[in-house]
Amino acid sequence: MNLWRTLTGTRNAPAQDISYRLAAARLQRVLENHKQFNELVDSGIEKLGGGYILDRQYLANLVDRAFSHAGEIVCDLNIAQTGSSHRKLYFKLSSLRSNLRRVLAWRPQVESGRLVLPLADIDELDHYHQVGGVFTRLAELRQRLGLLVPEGFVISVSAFNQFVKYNGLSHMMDLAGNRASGVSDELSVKIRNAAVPPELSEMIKREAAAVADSCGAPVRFVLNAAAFGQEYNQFSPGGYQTRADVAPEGLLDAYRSLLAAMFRPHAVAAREQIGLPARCHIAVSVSRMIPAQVDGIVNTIDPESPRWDQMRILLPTDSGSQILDVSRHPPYEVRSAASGESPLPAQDIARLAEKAMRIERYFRGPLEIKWAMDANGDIFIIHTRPPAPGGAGVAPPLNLSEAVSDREIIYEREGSVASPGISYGTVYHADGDGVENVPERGVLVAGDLEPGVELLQALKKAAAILMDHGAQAGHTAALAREFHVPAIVGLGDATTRLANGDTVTVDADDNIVYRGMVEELLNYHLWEYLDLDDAREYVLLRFVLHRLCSRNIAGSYQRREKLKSQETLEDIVRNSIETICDAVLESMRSAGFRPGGSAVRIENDPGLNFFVLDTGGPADTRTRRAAAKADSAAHDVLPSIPLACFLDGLSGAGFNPGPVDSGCAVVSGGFTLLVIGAGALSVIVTAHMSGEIEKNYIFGRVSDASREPVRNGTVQLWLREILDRYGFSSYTMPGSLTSWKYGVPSSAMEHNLRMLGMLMGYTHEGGEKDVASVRDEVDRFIELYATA
Amino acid sequence: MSDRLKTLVLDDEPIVCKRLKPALEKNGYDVEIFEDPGAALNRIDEQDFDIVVTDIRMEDIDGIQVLEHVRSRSPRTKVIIITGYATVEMAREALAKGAFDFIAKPFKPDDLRAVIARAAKDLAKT
Repeated sequence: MNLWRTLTGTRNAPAQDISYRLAAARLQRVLENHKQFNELVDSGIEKLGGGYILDRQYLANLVDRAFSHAGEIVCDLNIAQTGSSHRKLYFKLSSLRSNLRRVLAWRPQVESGRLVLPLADIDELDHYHQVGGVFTRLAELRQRLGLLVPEGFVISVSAFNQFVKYNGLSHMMDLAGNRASGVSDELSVKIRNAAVPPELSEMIKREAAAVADSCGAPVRFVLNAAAFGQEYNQFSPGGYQTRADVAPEGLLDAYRSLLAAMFRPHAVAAREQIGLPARCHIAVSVSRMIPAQVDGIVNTIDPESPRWDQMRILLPTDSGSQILDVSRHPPYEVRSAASGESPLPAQDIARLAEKAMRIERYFRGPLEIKWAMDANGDIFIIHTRPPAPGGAGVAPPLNLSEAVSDREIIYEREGSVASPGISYGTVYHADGDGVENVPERGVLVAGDLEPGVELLQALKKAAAILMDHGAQAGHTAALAREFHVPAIVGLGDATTRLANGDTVTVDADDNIVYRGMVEELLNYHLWEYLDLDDAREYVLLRFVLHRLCSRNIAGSYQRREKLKSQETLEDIVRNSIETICDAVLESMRSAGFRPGGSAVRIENDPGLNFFVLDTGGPADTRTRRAAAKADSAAHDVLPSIPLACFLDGLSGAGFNPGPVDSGCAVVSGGFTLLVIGAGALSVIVTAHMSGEIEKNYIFGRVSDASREPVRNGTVQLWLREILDRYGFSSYTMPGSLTSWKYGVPSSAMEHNLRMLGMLMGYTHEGGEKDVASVRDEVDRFIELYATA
Repeated sequence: MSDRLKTLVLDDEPIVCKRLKPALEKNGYDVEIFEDPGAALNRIDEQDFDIVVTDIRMEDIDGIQVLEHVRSRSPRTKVIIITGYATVEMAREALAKGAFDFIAKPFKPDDLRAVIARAAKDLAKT
């Protein structure tokens, strides 16, 4: 009885009502935790996009609160599903949490993991701790920007740790930093003569053979070693070690030799200079050596010129080297060559310059890029790094206030920053010629952008994104952040205010769009480039969010039934909620949707044999339908405005139930739970409505036992599109679609619940939808709703 | 002599200084940034600032000490304290000791600009 009181807040209730009251109370609690979990994650995502200044404490707090809400949901799941195996979720939560704590303390779990990772498999957020920043960035160039990098693989930090353990070198590593002891020299020799563990040795040989197979010719390799923490933004001469022209049979020896070199005194000292411990984690990349016809280095800002609009290309020649000054803007003209004719034709210089600018845009700062061109004319990126100190040209005059004061501002803090950064380019309306045809350095302008291959192609070239609609936690925003494209969403009228071909400067650090090119701002940004992505707090925030949620994954959400595959906290939360919703549906269906006791049947429902159980409880008049406020004659006696509005919408869509279709509702204070079973289709709608807007929410879930039409991809698409237009967040799982909206004013709640009712009726009655016309279907529904 | 608001920003996290400098310069303020509290105090001894923005928790010298130093050297200077989640109590102490206001991380440069604008208004009255 204590549990009963805890869940329902009431002392007694008629026995036949108990299961309904319990279901409603439990769902209310679960959904309130879900709401708070989602709001936390959304606020984290907002921080990631909006250039916030944050600290480690904020991150710890975010993690604690997210786990607290998830823990309560799992607790409710276990109460709801007595005797089930959901208790294991507690262990899963605990393991996820301890992993995150280690990440926050910058002590990631690297004892276990893949020993060897092909470059094609490396993902920044999944493998950063295994391969380090230097190599994930090379993988990013390939995955995100579609650039050619030499084929290869990385021998991970786990492999290094296994090597150390296998050879019993752990203790010496702890002492390596003590220069006076001479341990470092001795350790280096021991590593040189140590054995590569057999398992690792096999893997290295297998991956090297795979690279040779993919090339169809004998290959030689280049090996690079980097210590974990030797990140992209730290220039550390002597910190990296390299071995070139290594035959496949020499790989193991080269690996040992590189590790040994990393523990020589000068290398240890170089690491200590940038604050890394002598005992560090080391990853080694193994790449195919490109048989180069020509190679060289590009400095995206000419380090010896006061001009900020030119880059420098250094080409080795027979007599030394040649320097080309090249414009930073298309068509990338060669302005001057220090000596003689360029060994590269103009079109190759333009291709190289375009790639260099694409990489600079992606990494948001001046770069030194090593490249090579093979006999086929393919340009490979060998590595990129920031220029050495003093190697990024001459600082521009700094008076930003004056520089921007007379510039025409098109938007000033009218939208929301979805991805930070500063860029300029030419406006390109994505709704016209297709998003994928955006020119290099085009500013994508659209009402909204649909996720898909075309958008991924466009993001490789786009300078910035400006959208009428969209949200910081939306799909396009997440992709813009992944591709490092500055983006401002929710501008309202960008598609009408900006014309194709306009030049604009997008300052997504400060949420301003200027007309024309604001060169001073762009130069300042390059000079004092603020790569927030590299600030440790932001790196940690990305990791935290990656473990908390899966929202930056393109495509629909997949239900991960197996506990093992529930990798994020959001996986656990969503699966728990789905299971609880299924349990509620099942219990109500099996009881024929008929609460006993004080439940009353609605006379004028849409033909559903609909029962309502009013459990009382405090609620203000905005929640309760007062008799006098009866804009719908059919449902004016209902105790809940959300219920009345939903049923209004359902009737308005011409909903025609079958003979066994039924439904019921439980109204408890400001909370309404509504459940309908119509054929194979089941709907749960809950609403919390009060005078406090921030506490209001709507949650809806439609599921289909036959898995049609909800399983149908096209129907999912147009349902989600409609919900998105009305400001709902949603995800789909096989056979169900779940959506929610938080912080809704009372009048908007009425409007939205009518829409949901109509949407359910429309889905139920509409039959098969035309696969080719998602947008038409969406427009048709919106028109129908507007005229109803 | 320039009538631009002279502003000093002190935070031992480089990212904070790097982020705030351009954000405040765009508003027309003269901004000097420091990651080392000792160097910032030396500069405060040489130059009167209109606004001092300081982190509260730093090694060696904390934000309260910076506040006391500024108040003794230049009472008209408005001191704005940056706090983290765990240091709100210290911020209250700073307010009691004469800080103009405090701003808690996480915040946006815009939030700080709003506080500085209020401080500037206050300065104009005096």
